[in-house]
Amino acid sequence: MFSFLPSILMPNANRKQPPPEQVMADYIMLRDKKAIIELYNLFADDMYHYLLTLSDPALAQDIVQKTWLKVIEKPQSYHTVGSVKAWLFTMARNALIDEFRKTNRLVELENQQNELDQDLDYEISSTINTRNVQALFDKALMTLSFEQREAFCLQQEGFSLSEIATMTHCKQETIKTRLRYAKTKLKELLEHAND
Amino acid sequence: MTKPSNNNQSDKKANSQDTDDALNSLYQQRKGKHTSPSAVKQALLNTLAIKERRSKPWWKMNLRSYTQVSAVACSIAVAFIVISLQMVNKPPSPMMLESAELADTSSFQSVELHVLAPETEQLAKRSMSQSDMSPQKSTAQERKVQYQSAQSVYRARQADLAVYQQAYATIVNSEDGLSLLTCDKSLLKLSKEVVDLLVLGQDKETIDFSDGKMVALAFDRNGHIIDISQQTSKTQC
Repeated sequence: MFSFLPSILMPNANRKQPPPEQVMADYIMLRDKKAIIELYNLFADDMYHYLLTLSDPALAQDIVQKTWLKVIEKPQSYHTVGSVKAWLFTMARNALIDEFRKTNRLVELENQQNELDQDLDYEISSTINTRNVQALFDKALMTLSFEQREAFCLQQEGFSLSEIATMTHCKQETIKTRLRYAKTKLKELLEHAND
Repeated sequence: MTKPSNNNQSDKKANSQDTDDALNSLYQQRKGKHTSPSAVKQALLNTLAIKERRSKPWWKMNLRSYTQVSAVACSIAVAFIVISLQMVNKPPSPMMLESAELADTSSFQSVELHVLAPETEQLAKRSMSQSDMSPQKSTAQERKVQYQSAQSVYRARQADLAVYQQAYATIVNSEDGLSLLTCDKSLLKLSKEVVDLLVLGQDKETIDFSDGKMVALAFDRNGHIIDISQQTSKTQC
């Protein structure tokens, strides 16, 4: 858009963004806060949405904050082999599971999911009329089981099957099954909406 | 027979791809609605700032404004005290005049200096006559020679002053002749010849060699008396 301007006026215009792995390596070496801010701007929204989809806004915010504090305090726990995003999501997921275990939240979530399942039948009939597909998708996503939802979210975030399997400590086949069930359910709901 | 099944499969695949795209689109839309709260970023920035401050060595730390202000105030106070003490302990300089005296310029006599000294001017002229110079150069050279001559005369006088020592003595007339009793209680016997040499060139009438009279003596660096003059005051020793 501003290509007619000289590069001195737009110093970042032609500069190539370094990969997040390089930014992380720089932070480990130099402890430059700009690197952390850069990583935050890249991944904070993705991480928050992933956690929000698996829990609630307050807990998601808490876990995001804890995760980034861990990144600041112990950056050396990042191993340069994997992607930074996978490392961040693994830390966030582990913190969330720990929190669930502390508060027996997993049982609560299962009950919530059943309630949502019942609500959804009513929602579908009312939402189809208004063609609010996005709202329907949100609801449908929340009716998926925790594992299916998690697998679906991680795939949508761009992780491969092997990465999801590593992050969730499951076999790839299990992840495949979870994804298939999740997509089938969501697809059915969307087909209902389109009819 | 195989064609329809292939078509069906490709249709199925295309449908599946469409569904995946639709799901992905819906997921991205949902994500756009739920962004990370700004409070999280603020907390992160605060933590980073604290960490940066802690990790900085003390000499790189920024002093807070009140510390800076108090340090500057202390420095000014100490400087003021030191200068005041110096002013109190310093004896008043003779050059320091009352402002009223300075204001009254009528009490001063103004003198314009055109030459350094008569003898130095003569010396300069003599040296100028010995060398051939252009008029422009000669003026500068003349000034230079004048200055150098005045400087040599001044240095010679300074050297003379340095070698001089002054003492006061009382004249003692005895059967042996003229003697001088100095303030440090030593008696100097003067031969008539020495006395004549000392008063040579002076008005003999001005020096009274009677017993008990006070005279001022000037010695050279070797301790020889080179001048004698009458002193009217008796409270010199």
